[in-house]
Amino acid sequence: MALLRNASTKCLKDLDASSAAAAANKLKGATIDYTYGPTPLVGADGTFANGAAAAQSDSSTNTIYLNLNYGWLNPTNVTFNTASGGSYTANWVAAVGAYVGDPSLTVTQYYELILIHETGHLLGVPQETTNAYDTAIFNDCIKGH
Amino acid sequence: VLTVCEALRDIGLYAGRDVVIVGVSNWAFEGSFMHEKCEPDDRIAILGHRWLSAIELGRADPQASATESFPVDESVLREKLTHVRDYNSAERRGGQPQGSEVQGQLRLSLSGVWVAAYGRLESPSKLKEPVPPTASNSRNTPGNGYGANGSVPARLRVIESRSIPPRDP
Repeated sequence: MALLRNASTKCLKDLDASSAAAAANKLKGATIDYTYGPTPLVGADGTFANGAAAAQSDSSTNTIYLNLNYGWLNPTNVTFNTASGGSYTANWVAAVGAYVGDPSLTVTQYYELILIHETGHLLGVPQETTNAYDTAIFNDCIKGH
Repeated sequence: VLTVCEALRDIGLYAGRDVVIVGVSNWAFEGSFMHEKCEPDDRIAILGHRWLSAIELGRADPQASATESFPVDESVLREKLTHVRDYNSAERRGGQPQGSEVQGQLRLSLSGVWVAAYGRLESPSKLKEPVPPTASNSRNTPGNGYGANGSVPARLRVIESRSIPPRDP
């Protein structure tokens, strides 16, 4: 919450937020819904195959949904199902760190990334289709802030 | 076999049909999405409105996945991908997709993965675009598409997908 209250101009632009107070109040007023959703399934090629979501938001109800089976409870040790019927565990924080361009992403920063990311969607940011949105949030709202 | 742009330009024709779509796939917290830049603003006109040129990748009924096999040879998929501008530049660059992590034998691929996905394309018959907040109206009204704020106009219920990595130059 403190990150949003003290958000930089660039961070607020990433989130389509009119002000730091608007961004912080959006998250403060949101309902966080924890669910045991689908476990992510990884194909033989390493891509995600079952459309499982780690987190989602519904701006009509101002709700953020967090999937407890997808890295919320213990994100450095996440179990993935594989297409061959097995499973394996991975340091999901490290994978997301690589995705946003900083392999040293911490667990706290990972949680911040998810919540700020979904707050942006509640504020009106459309679905992202590349890593640009998360990279911008990490650099403008989290890293060094 | 369609590109993302071809599928979205004629979404009324292809919705409800089994198709193969080729393009680049990216992971997001909300799921996986195929994307292609169809027009300079990264949007595409559908029924008079500007939509993200993207397709959500969902999961087909497990029974369909178990009984249907991929209907097209790799040579056909690669030929189709030559019509996608970014694939040609990716082939010239070569190398691995970004954002991947080696975990034993399995490499997680989060970003920039070239795939061919086979499944049933779906889209609401009457697409309603999201209305983001403005200076005069602070309300954020989601659309009835897919992904965050219902902003993605179509979803593919994937029966099977395969990677088509660019060949090294």
